Amino acid sequence: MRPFRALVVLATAVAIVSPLALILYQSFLDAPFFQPSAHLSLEAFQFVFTDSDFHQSFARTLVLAAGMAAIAVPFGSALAFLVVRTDLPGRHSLEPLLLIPIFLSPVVLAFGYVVAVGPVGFFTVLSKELFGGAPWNLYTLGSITVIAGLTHIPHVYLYVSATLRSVASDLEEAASIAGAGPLRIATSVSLPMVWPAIVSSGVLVFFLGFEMFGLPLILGDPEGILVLSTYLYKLTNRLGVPSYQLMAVVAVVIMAIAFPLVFLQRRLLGVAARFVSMRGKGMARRPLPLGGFRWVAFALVVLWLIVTVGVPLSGALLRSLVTSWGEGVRLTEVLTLEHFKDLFDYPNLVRGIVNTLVIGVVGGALSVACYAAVALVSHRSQSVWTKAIDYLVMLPRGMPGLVAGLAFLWLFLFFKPIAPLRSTLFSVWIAYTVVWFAYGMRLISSALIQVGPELEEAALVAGASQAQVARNITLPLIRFGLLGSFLLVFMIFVREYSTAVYLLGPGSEVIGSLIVSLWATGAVDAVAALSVIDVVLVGAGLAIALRLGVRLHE
Amino acid sequence: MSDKNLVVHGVHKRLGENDILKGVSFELRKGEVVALLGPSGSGKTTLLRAIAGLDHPDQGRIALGDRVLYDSGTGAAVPPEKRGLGLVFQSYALWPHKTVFENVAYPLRLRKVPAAEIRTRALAALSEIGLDGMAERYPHQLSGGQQQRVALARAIVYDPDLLLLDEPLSNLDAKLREEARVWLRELIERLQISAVCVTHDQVEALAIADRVLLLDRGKIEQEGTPQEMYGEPATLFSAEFMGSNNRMPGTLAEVRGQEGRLTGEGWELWGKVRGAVQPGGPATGVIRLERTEIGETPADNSIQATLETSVYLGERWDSLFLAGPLRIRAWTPEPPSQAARWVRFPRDSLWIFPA
Repeated sequence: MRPFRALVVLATAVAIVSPLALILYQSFLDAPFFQPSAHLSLEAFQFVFTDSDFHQSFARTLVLAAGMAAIAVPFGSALAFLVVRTDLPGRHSLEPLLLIPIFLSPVVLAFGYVVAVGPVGFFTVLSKELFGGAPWNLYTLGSITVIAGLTHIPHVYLYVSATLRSVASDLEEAASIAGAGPLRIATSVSLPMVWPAIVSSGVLVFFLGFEMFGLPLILGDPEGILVLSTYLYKLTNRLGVPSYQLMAVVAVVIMAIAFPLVFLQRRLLGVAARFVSMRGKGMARRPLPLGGFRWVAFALVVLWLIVTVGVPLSGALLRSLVTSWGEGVRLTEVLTLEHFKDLFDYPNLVRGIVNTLVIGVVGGALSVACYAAVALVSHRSQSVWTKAIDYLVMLPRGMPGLVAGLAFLWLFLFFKPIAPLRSTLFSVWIAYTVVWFAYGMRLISSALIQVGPELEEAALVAGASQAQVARNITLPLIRFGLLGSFLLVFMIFVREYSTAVYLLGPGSEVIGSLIVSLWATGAVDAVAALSVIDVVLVGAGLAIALRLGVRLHE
Repeated sequence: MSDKNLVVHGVHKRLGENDILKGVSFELRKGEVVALLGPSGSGKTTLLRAIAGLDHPDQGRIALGDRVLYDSGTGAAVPPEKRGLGLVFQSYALWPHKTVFENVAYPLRLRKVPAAEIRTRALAALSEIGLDGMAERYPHQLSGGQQQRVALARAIVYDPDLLLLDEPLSNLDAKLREEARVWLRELIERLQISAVCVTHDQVEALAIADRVLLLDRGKIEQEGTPQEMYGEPATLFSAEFMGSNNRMPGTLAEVRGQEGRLTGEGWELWGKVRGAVQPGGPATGVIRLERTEIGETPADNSIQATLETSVYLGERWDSLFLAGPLRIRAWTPEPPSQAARWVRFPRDSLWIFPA
């Protein structure tokens, strides 16, 4: 166990720290790191910090992140209260649906919005035909913020609902008997009791706003609205030469903002757990009656689902089935399946689909194995190594996928021994594994936490070594948790796009990165077909997970 | 089974700001059963876990025969899997993914016992605890009492040098617990196992153990046979922890040999003086409820009181008398007569401790 533990800790540290270190190092050079002429310098920082585009992007990112939090936090908290505590109609069957936006690729969503409610989108055209105009404009910072806010409601919902569930319901019943109505109970008892969870989810949404890439890339592009991540992405095009040092500076800026927020969020989450665990044991819960507001609340939830899931997905699906679209086109005349057939004419697209499946199934399984190995070596161990792992796995949380992909690209360029792997799926897999490290660890840890310590101690006393305990007791006991984690990681990997953008090359194509690159070339037909395939794959994973009774959150 | 003695010497354990164990020492002779008795927070479970190797003390020495299991002086610490002890957990800790047979067979598999022998020995252990025919069931298909037996079979199947029991009966309901108590004592005697049993239940300790160690706040308060512990408590804590008692705060007025006179507001009683209490100093009298007698006429060493209420408990009546600020209870096999005015404290049964 000892050497195994050291090996796992070391491998984890290398995989997580080396891309970070390389980016940091590159940001202090005046040329790409592999050029002999590169010298230590603050030139890159000077350039970026005096660039007016950077200032604008930074300001927009702040607005975007704050706006997202302002939308997602109140609505997410209200949603959590409605689902967990009240007699909202159909709340049990609604629950899995509420989490769908988490598992949908933002590029697919953004594309769906463009073809549904863009200037010549299906619904825009319909609205123009019916009312002579459409009262919305998709390509504004406001629209991006609203869409981003609405799609991040589930993130808040997850944290707040989990905490709300652990609050004893008798506290609310006491308020109810004292004469408080549901709204009063929510605002004066339930939600104040889970405020650390609410604030923590707000911080989470805020830094997710800083990392957001897909939505602003596709929706901001037509009007040239840049945020930090898209500013980073467009830097190469703007200067015409690979401006590694400038990209590194922007990446460092994003991470410098994200890291403190990650730590803050974690701290708050710890507070949230303590805040609630002091309370009594929850009894069988009687939902609070909403009365006449019941169906109003239901209608609002359904409306939200239609806007965030229904509209973009129906748009993407419809677009994949028509040859062309615009004002005056009759739907029945343009229906086709050609776009899906056409995919097979392009070997890179076929490879992309196959690769996505491989990275989801095989890569997902391997990643879960890695996460499990790391979780097991730190399981019930008090050593410094365990502490180190604890902080180590938080780092990728503050590293946006786009930046991680860039860092791994550089690593593969930098270290000759691993260079041949760059154009293989391995490069994408390792980047995915690192980017989703914290998420995976949380999944495994929440399975491990269910294992009573005495079950492992009983094996120890009976004469089992640490390794035997892990193999014979712990792993068999969490096998269902591992399966659930695998399905969730499968969906996340199939959905992922930004991490693979920079690693895209012959052999390492995945659907997500292909959509991003095809969108830039205007190949809308292929984008539509790939989007639908991606959603179908995620949907299949979701269906299996729900069928097996996997909880979609820890 | 084994001729090894367990020696625990000067074990200290500190957790954060709290001293959980403050230098506990005791020995266990071959074939002896010792109960570690104490309220929650007394450190008894920590001590058991230190013996098992699941917790490491900060100071002290633990040895089994000539094998040193732990020694803070030399830094020796045998890991739990190498100690070869048997441990029955309070929650039983049966592995839910293994059958009853596999649960019991697992320690033998770890010891690389041949498959055929594993089968005979595991089945023999199950038969020993009266669970023939249950081998292929899963733990969740068993009742609490059966699970407890499987946990015991798993702990004894490899003939451990020492059996450790952590609140073995606390998860059983009251009726079952009484039966299991007798059964467990009988099994331990038959197998001639040395055992350490942690419990907070004094009845359990008295029933199972040859010797009882009473722990309070990390120290051994008193040790002795069950009869000594119940009949001759050395301290106020011991006296009050064991049994159900009347407690009489007062002043020790005078001492005559072994006896002393305890006085309070309007009453005075003679009792046996235990511990260092100075005449004129505050003292507390303690008497077991079953030793407290009631009568209709005054008698030696009695207090006049009024019967407040009495409760029928099946095999006895529990009556409450009031005498000024004193609340005195008495257990009697018959209902108290309404004319009962006097509560008598037999001199041998009233102990006077320093307050």
